[in-house]
Amino acid sequence: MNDEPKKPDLATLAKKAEARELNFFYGAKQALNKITLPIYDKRVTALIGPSGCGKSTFLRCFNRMHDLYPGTRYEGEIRLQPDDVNLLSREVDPIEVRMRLAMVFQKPNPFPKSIFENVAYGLRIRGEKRRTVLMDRVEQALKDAALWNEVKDRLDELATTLSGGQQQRLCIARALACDPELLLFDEPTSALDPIATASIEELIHELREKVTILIVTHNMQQAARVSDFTAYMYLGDLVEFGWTDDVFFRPQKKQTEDYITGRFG
Amino acid sequence: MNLSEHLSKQFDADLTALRTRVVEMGGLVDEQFRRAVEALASGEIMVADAVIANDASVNSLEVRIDDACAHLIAKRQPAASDLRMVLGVSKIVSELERIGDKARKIARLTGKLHASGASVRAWIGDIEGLSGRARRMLREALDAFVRSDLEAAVDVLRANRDFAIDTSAVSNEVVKRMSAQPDDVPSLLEMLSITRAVDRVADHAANIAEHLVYIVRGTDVRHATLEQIEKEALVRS
Repeated sequence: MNDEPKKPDLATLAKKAEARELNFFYGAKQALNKITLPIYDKRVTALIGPSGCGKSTFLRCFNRMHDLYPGTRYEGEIRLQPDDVNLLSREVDPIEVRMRLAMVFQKPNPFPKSIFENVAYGLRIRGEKRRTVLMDRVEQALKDAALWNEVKDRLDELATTLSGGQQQRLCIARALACDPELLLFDEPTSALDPIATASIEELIHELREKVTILIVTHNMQQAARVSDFTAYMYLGDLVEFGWTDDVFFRPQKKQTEDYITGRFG
Repeated sequence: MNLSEHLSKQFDADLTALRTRVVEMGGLVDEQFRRAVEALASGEIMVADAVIANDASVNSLEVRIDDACAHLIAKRQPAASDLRMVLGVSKIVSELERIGDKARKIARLTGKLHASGASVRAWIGDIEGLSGRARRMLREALDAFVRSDLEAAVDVLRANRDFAIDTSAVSNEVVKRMSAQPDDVPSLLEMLSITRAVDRVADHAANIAEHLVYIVRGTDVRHATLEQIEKEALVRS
């Protein structure tokens, strides 16, 4: 009856990571309730939901950002493939975790250094000193972030001289330079104008060929445009997860429907 | 379907206006069809001419509602049930416009048929019966749309199955007369054309019912069997 393009069976898709019964607490307050969510390899997964639903909290569990604050606590697991390491395990060093993942924040946060040094930074702290290697990696990362043509003649200028959209792409280049396995985006375009937003979305679309992406966004149309999968969260619960096409056209849960059609926010 | 209110009252108002205009257009084409058959039965050419003239209003409503759909999509980016409603309305409006065309066609053939002097009494009786049923199906389909009532929609589809059998019986009668009354063949061809037009009106009503299943369930049942549609529309909670 329906003539939708056939989507691959979920069972056949490789997972890059998976949250399993993940609980998270800020002190006594539980912010995530038993979240089990697969993150499929080389796909874009969008997390949507009203403010306070736990989507950013969930994202920040992946790179153990919460470890920086006292009184926070994880339960459950986040398994990263291919080695099936539990990112939340006490034996796993958060610094090691962050080497494999990269995060791009809401507001572009370039270091007060040159464009080149911003992108080379992660490689330098990993001990890379060879100038030619650094040059190559920086160039590639800037190309992947669709910024190279705009900055190739001004690599020594301060990163803060770039426009907001360029700064955000620089932050993405900085993340890509270290070859992350999973790229985490926390509302990456909420501080950008529509044109810069479109270029970041285009970039996300292209990057999925190379890297798995998890993105938190307040902009539902953005989730619909850029993601393969969408997870709708509410009050720390995962309400619905599925192909973005399905979630935005024929959601299974009334709660999801109400949220994406603007009946509840 | 989701009829609770949006956070944006204007969005609610726009969607409600869209639904109201569909019903308004439905009323208009129903009246056009009723008057076309009335003209056919009575031979009143003035009524037939009025139907032909009034088809422009049907066409303009179609264009306006479609335009409203396009603007709603552009401005509101509807999703899920809202998106299906807008797409469904656009399809329903096309069906209604075609019913309007059928009314015009019947009105156009009325004058020629009555001028021909062929014996049409018995056949007109059949057509009046069939068109009454077709109009009922149309009204039921529109009521089902207003109430998002899938059971009523399925009833319309069931009625259409019987309807097709009965119209083809009437058509067969006309065809039989062709060999018996070769002189009347031009008139008989027009009668056949009108019988077909009435049959198509019922088909369009049934299509509206199918579009409603799409709006409510998100499943496109245009090319499904009645049994599949019953399953989709009624079995699922």
